[in-house]
Amino acid sequence: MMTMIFKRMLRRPGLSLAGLILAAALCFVLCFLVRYRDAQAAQLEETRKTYVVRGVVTDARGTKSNNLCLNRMFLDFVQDEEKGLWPYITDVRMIKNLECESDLGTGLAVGVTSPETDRRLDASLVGGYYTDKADFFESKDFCCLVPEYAYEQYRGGQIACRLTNSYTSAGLGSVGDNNGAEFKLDVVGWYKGDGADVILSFPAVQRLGGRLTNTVSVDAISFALKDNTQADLVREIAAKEFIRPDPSSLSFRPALTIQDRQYRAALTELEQNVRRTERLLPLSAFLSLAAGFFMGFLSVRGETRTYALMRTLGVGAGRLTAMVLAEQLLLPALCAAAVGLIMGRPLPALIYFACHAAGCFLAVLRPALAAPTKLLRAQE
Amino acid sequence: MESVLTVENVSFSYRSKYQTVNAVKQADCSFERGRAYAIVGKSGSGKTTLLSLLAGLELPGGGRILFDGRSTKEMDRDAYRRDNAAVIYQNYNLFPLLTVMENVLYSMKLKGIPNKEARERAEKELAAVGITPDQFKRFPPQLSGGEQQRVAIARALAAGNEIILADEPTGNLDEGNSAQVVDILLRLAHDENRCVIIITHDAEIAARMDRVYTMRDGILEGTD
Ligand SMILES: Nc1ncnc2c1ncn2[C@@H]1O[C@H](COP(=O)(O)OP(=O)(O)OP(=O)(O)O)[C@@H](O)[C@H]1O
Ligand SMILES: [Mg+2]
Repeated sequence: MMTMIFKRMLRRPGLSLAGLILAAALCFVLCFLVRYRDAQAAQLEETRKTYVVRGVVTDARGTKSNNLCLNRMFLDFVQDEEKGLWPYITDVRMIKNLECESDLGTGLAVGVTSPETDRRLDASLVGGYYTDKADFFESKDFCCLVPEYAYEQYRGGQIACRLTNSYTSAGLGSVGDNNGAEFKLDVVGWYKGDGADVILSFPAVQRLGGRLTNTVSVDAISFALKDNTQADLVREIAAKEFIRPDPSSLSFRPALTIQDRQYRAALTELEQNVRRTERLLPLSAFLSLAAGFFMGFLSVRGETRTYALMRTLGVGAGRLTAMVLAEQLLLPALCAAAVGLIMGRPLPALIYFACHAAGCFLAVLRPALAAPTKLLRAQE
Repeated sequence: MESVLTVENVSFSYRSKYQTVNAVKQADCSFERGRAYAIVGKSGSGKTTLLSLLAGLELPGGGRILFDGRSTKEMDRDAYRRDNAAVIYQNYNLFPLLTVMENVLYSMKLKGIPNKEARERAEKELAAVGITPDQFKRFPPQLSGGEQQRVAIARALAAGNEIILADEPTGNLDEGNSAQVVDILLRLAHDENRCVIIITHDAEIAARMDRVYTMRDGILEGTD
């Protein structure tokens, strides 16, 4: 009996092919929509997770973010694990500058927490550096990087620097009287730049600052949020010490800007996309499933005469149903399987197939259950 | 001789929303194995309807039809058509997408007759009704009406069912072919002990049958 089915199918290749293409197209539309929705949702999730939102401390007007001369209270607040920002932030970058006079000229001794803190070091921008001291950025040792042009001269040796801490307010402690003392710094590498600045680690500069004036201060702070969804929480906590930047402000208090505007814009757009697709999905899914259903229905309906004929020859209702479904569902099944696998979305393909099959099944009820003579007469 | 089909006080109406047609009003008769019957009557008198009832394609509205003592209402009528009664239709009812050979093989495959035997029987019956081997691979629409009719006859005969119900089997045949078909049907009845019932408008053919029933406006009358 199976061979008869194949023969009948092969003898109307146009019809079989058209049905196949239509079924594939409908199935594809469904899988594509689901996949598109998934891709958008994944992109949204990805953005939420990987987009880096940074917070930057500035002056009250929000115009400068370096040379802020923040006293240790702010440093402590940022690093406080209970009442401060520390639990919510990561990749904290800080700078402390000392004035520095050396053979290179008058410049700064810049203490940085990481290469990304200063653009002259950051290879992902225009900078770059070299050091033979592996723990340079963590070490409290008095070592420094000199500008690239001076490295040959100082390589392996030391550079004498007269250092002055411009931050001299000690708060509760007493101010030391060493300001302007000379220190010999080990030269352990170079950075891309041509001024008179030397670059040290942040801890080393803090230590030097202590030696000079017995004070702790910081000139720039920025950080990344651990979790982008906590931006508002961080703002709220930060409000204890920092104000919001205001271009017309005359305040001396530092301000904190959490730079999440772009992030929010990107997120809003992605969320809108997802919502739009999700609104579109049920309707188009319904349409393609309904089309699949009708295709199945009509393809069986068109063969009613043949099936009625089979009934008159003594094919029982159950056997007819099985034969018709085998004949009508073989190609759509292959089709749905192929599309489902290619698109990586087997479930919608399966649902499409189920609808197609349901259409076939509904249409086969008539030849299976009605009196065959009635059908043959009706078809003439 | 034993009666294989018994028609007891049967009536049948076609009902639709708009009208009811009493196609068979009163039929009482019985058909025996080993005999050939003709049903004659004017067009529209209800002959095809009676045949459908005998084939189990419709159920009587009143009365009953018994096959070997069992009412068609209660039995598996699909199995009955497959295994016991073969029908030759007025309009042939061949599968258009199957070749002549495949059409004849179809009913035998349904019965589970092995391929080889089925093919031999098909070839024999097709040859008997005058279909040449070069026509075996043609499709029904590529045959003349008479050829299609003969294929339909061959299909019914090859199945080997004991009851053969034929609705104007010679309606589209020339004299020679029609005589040949009638010979075959008579031989099946007399030599193979089958029950043959044909509807015909041809008085000569009717006269060759063992018994003739006449349908008059839905009422079956027996004439010997
Ligand atoms: N499906 C139907 N619905 C309503 N009436 C029908 C239907 N089929 C047949 N009839 C009517 O039933 C009556 C008997 O029809 P039937 O086909 O049995 O006649 P018939 O004797 O076979 O005629 P013919 O010699 O022309 O084939 C006719 O009057 C016909 O119009
Ligand atoms: Mg008729």
